[in-house]
Amino acid sequence: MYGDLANKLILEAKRTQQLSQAGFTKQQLPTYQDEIVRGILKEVGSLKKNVDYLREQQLANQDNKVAQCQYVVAMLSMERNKRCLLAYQKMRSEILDSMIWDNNGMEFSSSVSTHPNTPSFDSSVLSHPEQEYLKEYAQLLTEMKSGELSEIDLTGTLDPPSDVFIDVRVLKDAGQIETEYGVFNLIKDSQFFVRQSDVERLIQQGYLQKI
Amino acid sequence: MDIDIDDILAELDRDTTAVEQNSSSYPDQSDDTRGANDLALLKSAANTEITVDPTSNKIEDYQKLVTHWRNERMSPELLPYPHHLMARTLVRIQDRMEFIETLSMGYLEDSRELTVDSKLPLLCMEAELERLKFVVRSFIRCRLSKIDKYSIYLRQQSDSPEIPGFNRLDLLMSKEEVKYHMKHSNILLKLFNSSVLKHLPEELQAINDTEGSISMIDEPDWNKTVFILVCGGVLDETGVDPKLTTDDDGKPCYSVVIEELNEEIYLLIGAVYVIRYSVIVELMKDGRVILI
Amino acid sequence: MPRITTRKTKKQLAKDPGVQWSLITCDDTSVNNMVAMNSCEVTLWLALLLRQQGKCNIVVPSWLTLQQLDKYLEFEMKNSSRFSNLPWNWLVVSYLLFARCSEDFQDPVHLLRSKIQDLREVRMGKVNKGLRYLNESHLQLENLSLMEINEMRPYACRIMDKLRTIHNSSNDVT
Repeated sequence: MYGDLANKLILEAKRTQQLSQAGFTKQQLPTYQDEIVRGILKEVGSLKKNVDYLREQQLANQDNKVAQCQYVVAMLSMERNKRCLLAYQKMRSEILDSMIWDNNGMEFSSSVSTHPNTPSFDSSVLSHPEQEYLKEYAQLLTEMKSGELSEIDLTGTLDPPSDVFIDVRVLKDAGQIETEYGVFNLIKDSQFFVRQSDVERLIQQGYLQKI
Repeated sequence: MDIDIDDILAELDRDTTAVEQNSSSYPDQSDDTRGANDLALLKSAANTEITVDPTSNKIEDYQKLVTHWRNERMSPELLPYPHHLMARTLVRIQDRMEFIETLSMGYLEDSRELTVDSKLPLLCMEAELERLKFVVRSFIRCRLSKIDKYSIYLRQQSDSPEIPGFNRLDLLMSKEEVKYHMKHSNILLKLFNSSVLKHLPEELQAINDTEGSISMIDEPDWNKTVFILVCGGVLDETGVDPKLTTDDDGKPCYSVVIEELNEEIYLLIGAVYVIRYSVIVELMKDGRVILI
Repeated sequence: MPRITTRKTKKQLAKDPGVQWSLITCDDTSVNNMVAMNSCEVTLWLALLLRQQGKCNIVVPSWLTLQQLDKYLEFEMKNSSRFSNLPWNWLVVSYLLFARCSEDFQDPVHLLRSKIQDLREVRMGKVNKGLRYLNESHLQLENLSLMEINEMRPYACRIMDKLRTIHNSSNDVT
């Protein structure tokens, strides 16, 4: 029936959204439902043919109530399919956005390729337009971060700062970091008293833990 | 209104150039509640050539910033960007970072044994800086998320009906935000276009479709329920608040009307209310009430 | 917005003669003029920071004493539909001070804590009862603190938004 495929897509969108809210999509997004999307687009194509045919019918016979009704239903079905397709795409783009924010823009786009240290992201789950979007949005974020607002660290934490200096424990080896307060060698299980803003990113990435 | 995606994309180019050409002829966007109309200040704010007078009231500025931040977080719509205030704040942050860096360099070169005590002012200054940066960051991030949410709606707002060709977004947003809005909606539309819209029949290719059952353009919910604190204290040159009146008991208050209910409400100074946004938006924008 | 400031007495705060305190979000005159063992007012975050570094004691605000809290509690019990005028940030401030400077209190902290808890419960009960007065128009809240407002916000907003929608659609029909 018309609309069944779109329904399926919306259920998929719902599922993706739930996964994302539960935090499962931090690094992973379900595969783009290319087949369903193409199926819906095909359906729109055949609806379009119907609509064109019905329109001609209507012109020939103004009083044909049945044809008029069929016409409206076909139009609405097309509209609905369009909405479902866009809703699906919008939802995915929003998840991509938040992934890029969480991963600090630039670093993320490079990790999409083959950066060994950062958790890898399998870009094959994205459609081609999505891959391009991801790259462009990461680029935009990098621009935003380096512009007038570079001092603010836009992708920094949105939790209010409580302490400037904190004790941290190293969860996995992260090499050396240099700060204004000296050089720290981050070896697993060691502890340091450091400025929070210096290690924010390492905490977000799971290298360090606040004690 | 039915805009084809190509029209929107074409409009983008027009808008970007308009920003460059007209930036000097825009009326001032005043930050404070007194409504100063100072073109020179806006220009310098836009060019970030503003110099901060050290005696200008930094404490007052910070409090204003916190109020803007609070209002922004609680209001359904994107509020006007406080151009001057933000320019001053950003300069202050930068100066402070340089200052702290110089200080800590001095500490590093100092051969004397360092005690926590001698570092104490530095520690406090850094703590303060982190707090200020957090407020600015949270403020901007909140704005960016609204810019994303109302992306298409904002585009439709960009041309003011009163003055054709006049770009409102320039007053509503900072230069960086305008750029972000343009670029993000641009790549988003490109994504929609290449994965959905261009595969649809021509008459269905519009992104801002209002023909179907539901409008596809998200608009702020103007009647959203908000919590407000009535603070008052906005005086004109003669030292009185022209909007202030008194209730039946003679207590100072503002009078607002909910038209749908045909109901007049007195908002007492100092009191807290739960009320729909549209009714108090003007009082909020001129600083007479704040959102909490 | 009332700003909460705490007075602090300062113990041997070593001042580097080269460094002047300068702050960009709050008044720095009091920190520049600190004298050992005298009290002065500074903003809350700064007081907590200096306290954490062991540079001062915090002078507990006068409302946060057993005697005063008892008075508030009495008012809350007597008036079933009104709230006592506790400070705007009473919950947050008491929480912070209990956690960060429990040694600075004259009264036993565990007793203070339980008074605060009692106050919180009495007031929350009133807030819950008051939810029935929510309507499609507006509501005035007297003496509710920010934390308490935040607690009721999700309910209150959802209910009022719904009532408004219902009201509007019933108007559309008639």
